[in-house]
Amino acid sequence: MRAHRLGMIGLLMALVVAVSALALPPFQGGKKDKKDQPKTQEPQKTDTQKKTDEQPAPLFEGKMNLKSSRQGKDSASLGFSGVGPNGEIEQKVLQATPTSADLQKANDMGNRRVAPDALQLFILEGQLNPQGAPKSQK
Amino acid sequence: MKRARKVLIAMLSMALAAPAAHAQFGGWVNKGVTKAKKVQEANAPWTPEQEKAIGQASAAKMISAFGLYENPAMVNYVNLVGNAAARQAPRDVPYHFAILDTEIINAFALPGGYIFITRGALANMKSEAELAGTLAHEVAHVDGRHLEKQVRAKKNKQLATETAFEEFGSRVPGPAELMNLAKDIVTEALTTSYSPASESEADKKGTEFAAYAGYRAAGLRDFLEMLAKADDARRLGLWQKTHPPLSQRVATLTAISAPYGDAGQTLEERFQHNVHFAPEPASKPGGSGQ
Repeated sequence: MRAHRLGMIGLLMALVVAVSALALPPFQGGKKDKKDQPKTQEPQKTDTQKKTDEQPAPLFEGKMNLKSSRQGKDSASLGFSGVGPNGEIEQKVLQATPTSADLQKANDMGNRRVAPDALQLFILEGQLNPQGAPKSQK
Repeated sequence: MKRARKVLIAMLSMALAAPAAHAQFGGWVNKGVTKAKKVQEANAPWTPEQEKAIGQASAAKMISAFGLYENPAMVNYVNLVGNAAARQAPRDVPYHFAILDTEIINAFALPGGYIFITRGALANMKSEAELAGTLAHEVAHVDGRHLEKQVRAKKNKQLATETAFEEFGSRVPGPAELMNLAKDIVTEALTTSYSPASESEADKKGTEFAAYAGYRAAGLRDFLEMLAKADDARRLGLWQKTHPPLSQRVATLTAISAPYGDAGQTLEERFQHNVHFAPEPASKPGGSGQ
């Protein structure tokens, strides 16, 4: 009787081991398959990510490059004389005294006048408004 | 008799004390009168002659900072567009426009109608309406004497703290005074932003000038909208430092230009015909100076 019980327990244990052995491959296979399947669940978001998501979308998305007025291989650094990397004006530029050539150029600029006839023609060609506002000295 | 003697003594004492009293208190009175006069002079708008002299000296300083892009055809075109818009400004100022030889994107208005736009700004515009809107905004700063008022406010602050003050009343300042003023004005233009009230007024009036001239009212808005999409600290750093945030400006200008609708000229073809930068030899160190 005792031997029969022991036999039964042995048989049960063997059965459990066999079932376990049969059950294992599908679980492992399931893990492997997950890698190939598209993600259905997003990973849990951090607090910072959640906060970012709650903020309204920025007015302008994406960044574009600005054009340079200079074309040439070494033009990237040209045209920024006196300007720092963040666009700030260097002190030496603010302290510099205009040369006589600079004064002459400013004088020429002040003496430059657009001929009234040329301006009228330009306005007509562009189908702009030929009427100007009344002027005051104030 | 005794009473008459007392009166005589009192009068003699007063006569003797008068010079001392004048020396003591007259100085204060004179100082107060002088200071009041200085404050009055500091608040008086510059005469057209003063504005021209100060503007020209400031323009020389600006030219010394960046240099001029001397392309006669393009400079002439910028002057035609600028003057077409400036005709709508009420104050009688002779406007002069020039191109600064720098890649940074900006435009500057100096007293006396001296207005600069950079070649970096021109290279990134698409239409004449964008150029007209930008120049009209600068015209509005001159028309409203915004930079002049800002410099004047600083002078008043200096008066309050009893520091040095250059007074020139209604006369045209001398060369040394002009040099000092030009330095103040250009430093102000290149390092400080206008007050929000001045900037808002220039946006409103500039849009009005461009629209009345016959251009699409949203020209400046279109240009700023493109700049807002860009990420270029070196080209835009100064603009960002001296103006309100671009996205905010675009929103404001959208509201200001909305009543004018989509009417008005954009003139892309004429702009592209007149504003194009020819390739430069790689070895050339500076501007092309065509």
